[in-house]
Amino acid sequence: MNIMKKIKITGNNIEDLLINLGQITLEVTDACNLKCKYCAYGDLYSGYDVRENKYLSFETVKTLIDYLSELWKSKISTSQIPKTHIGFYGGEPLMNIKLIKKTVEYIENLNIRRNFAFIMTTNAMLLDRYMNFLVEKKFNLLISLDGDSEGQSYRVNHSGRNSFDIVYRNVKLLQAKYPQYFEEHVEFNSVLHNRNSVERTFTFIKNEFAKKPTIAELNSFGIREDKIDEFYATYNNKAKSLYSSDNCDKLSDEMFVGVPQTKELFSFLKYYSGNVFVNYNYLLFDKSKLKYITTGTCSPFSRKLFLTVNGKIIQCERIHHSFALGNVENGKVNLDFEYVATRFNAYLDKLYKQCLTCFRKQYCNQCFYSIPGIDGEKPTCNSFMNKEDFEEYKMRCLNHLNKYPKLYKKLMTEAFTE
Amino acid sequence: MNKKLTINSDTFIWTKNKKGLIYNSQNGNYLLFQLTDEIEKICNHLNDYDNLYNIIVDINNLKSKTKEFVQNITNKKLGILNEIDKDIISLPPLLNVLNDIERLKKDKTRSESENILKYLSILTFYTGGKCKYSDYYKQTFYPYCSDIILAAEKIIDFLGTIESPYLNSINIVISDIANYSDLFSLTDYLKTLHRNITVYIHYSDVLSNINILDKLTIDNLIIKIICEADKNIKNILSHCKGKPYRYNFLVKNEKEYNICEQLAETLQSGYYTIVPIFDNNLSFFENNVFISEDDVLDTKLNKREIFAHQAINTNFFGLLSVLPDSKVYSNVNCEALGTINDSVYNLILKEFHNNYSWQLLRNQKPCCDCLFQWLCPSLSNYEFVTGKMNLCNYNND
Ligand code: SF4
Ligand code: SF4
Ligand code: SF4
Repeated sequence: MNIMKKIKITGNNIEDLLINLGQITLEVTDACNLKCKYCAYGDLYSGYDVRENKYLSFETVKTLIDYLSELWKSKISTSQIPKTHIGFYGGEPLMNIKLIKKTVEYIENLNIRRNFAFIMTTNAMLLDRYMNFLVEKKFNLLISLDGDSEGQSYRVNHSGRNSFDIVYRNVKLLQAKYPQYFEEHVEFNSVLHNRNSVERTFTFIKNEFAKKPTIAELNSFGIREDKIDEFYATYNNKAKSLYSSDNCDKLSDEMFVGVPQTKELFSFLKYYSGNVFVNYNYLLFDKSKLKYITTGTCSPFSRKLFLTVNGKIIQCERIHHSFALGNVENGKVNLDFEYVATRFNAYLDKLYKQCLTCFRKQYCNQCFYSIPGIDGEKPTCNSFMNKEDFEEYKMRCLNHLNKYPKLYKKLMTEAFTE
Repeated sequence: MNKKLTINSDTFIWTKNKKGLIYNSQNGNYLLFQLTDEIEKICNHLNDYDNLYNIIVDINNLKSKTKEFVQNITNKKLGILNEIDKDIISLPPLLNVLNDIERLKKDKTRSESENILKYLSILTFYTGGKCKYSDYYKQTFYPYCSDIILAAEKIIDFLGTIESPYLNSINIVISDIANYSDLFSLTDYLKTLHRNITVYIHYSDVLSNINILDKLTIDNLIIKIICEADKNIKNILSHCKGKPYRYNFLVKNEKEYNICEQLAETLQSGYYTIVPIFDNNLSFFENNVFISEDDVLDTKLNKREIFAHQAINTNFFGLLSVLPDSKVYSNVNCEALGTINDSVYNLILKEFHNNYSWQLLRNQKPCCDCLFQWLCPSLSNYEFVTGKMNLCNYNND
């Protein structure tokens, strides 16, 4: 008998999640001073609001913050002093520095028992102008840089000129002027494509800035039909790129969970070794008897709330804007917790039958928002695993471990991401 | 002839003082053995995680003791022998708690913003009151005698600050029920909480207060009567016949044990517990409470349960107790963490920092030298009151 019961989320759950909200990401503008070839707003992709060089208004941000503050004041949270990260996202967020400054000031003056921290992803083109402010407010910066000049060559300005020289100069300036801040608050992310490689990008950023970048492949979701060939010409597989490098073993060791197979192995060990526990409470009862939500989709607002430049409220910036759960309009937040829960449950329902027979159902990491046709009658999850698929997945992970046996101890004692 | 010996995942290998134990936590199979130099080398190799529980052994050239050791491993299904070119992957048990307390302790804002309330699962309040009982509250649920009384209002205020679905049980231990005037305002409040509520009262208080007990009998509230073996107890039990009370029988010697066992026969199973009490009766404890090697090895523990012993004290983790003077303890045998007026977050954090009881492990002498260190139950209140860290008949020599 299959004991998997349907588990649903409720409006109350949504309210609790907002009370304990850990991150608000504000799309402060959809404008950008670069025109990267692979940008999500670029012509390779469909599914995002058309970029209109819009700027998020302070009124909209204030309306949202006031709404959340009221909620935060009215209910007890589960931690002593909850912490919420305020993320600024673009386009290029620094193009709307006015809003960022106003928002930071407003948040700092909120009379509320809550800690805030600021984070931003930036292309660093305007870093020279605004670094003093970012440093003063201890922003955690994620700088997008695809490595050396050639690697950066898809990141061009509107007249097609490579942004490398300006970005490099600005980042070096930040590093020289504020070395401690740089060490503590700056990270890099790089996009992998056909003009760079894992090795070159990793080594460049490590040598130049003493940082280990996060390297991501091009997003393969939402590609326009007519651009598929172009996409694949630009695409570079991370594992392939890594394994074709001269220094593969040393590099893999340094990149640790940044290596796709190692990441997959860690997730396998986390879920299936029986050695990894989220916290001490899990040591006290048999987790397999717990009910669980099928699909790996996070519950709305459990990770963050994303506010688009058009005032849409979405559960994260990575998903299609048509999945908006509410909005901020005319000085009012429209967010119906029951509707949010019902809509989420409806997607779970649609996939339920398929999930029921899936071998990874208990530890699925498939977000349903990225299942093609999820809004249709009968969406099909391509990540479904039957017994053989699951065995294959298991063997793939274990073979990687067999090849790099030292990873076991390292992963179990040094890797802690939930 | 070279063969590859692979120990099964979920199997533990422990060695101490020239002795060893291999324990398969999937089925409870085990092997106790003497550590010769050769066997010790094998165990050390296997216990190096980088070897993923594999070792190549030259079967024909092993010493006879070692050969027997390898055979026992395969016979008892603790491991397998294979050709050396066969890739078999085994994952030695190695605990990783993602939200490890050590990291939390180092980071102040993280400890503030993390939901540490989730670790609190059971709260016990001792109301206090005039009485002349022993101090058995240090061992089990038992009335605490004091001039001060913990007012219901204080309990309610404290509970009002704890918004946590993880708090699942609340115990109220009442010392002098007739004079605890706030009792009904307290139970009225407790009724509104969706938690398991247990009220403990001493049997000597039962007969004169049966009306109060009747009024207390509500849906989510259990009444537990703390019984001691004396001539009156039979009478009390017959008065309570048919009522949904549960009973804790406290016993200090074999005679009391026999009396209570007889009385218990009239009760439904699951409705009573027999609780040994230490009171200058070491020999009773030695004969009845102390564990033996067989007890330990017969209790089949799975990997999670063994890991739990390695990381937390499974008897104490998640518990806070409040004495009538408002002081809060993670264990009443230890120092107070603070008072009921402190924030519950700070109380929990203080317990993590000071580790009075929640993470008290068997990592001190003599248990740290014992093969059964992680199989034995976590330290209990009996260790505190007897002052003996090992309540066992096991000789480590
Ligand atoms: S991609 Fe899906 S699972 Fe991931 S954060 Fe966004 S909504 Fe959640
Ligand atoms: S992989 Fe797909 S089918 Fe399987 S549990 Fe996850 S969402 Fe369901
Ligand atoms: S010495 Fe300690 S670990 Fe060993 S059997 Fe006794 S109580 Fe258990």
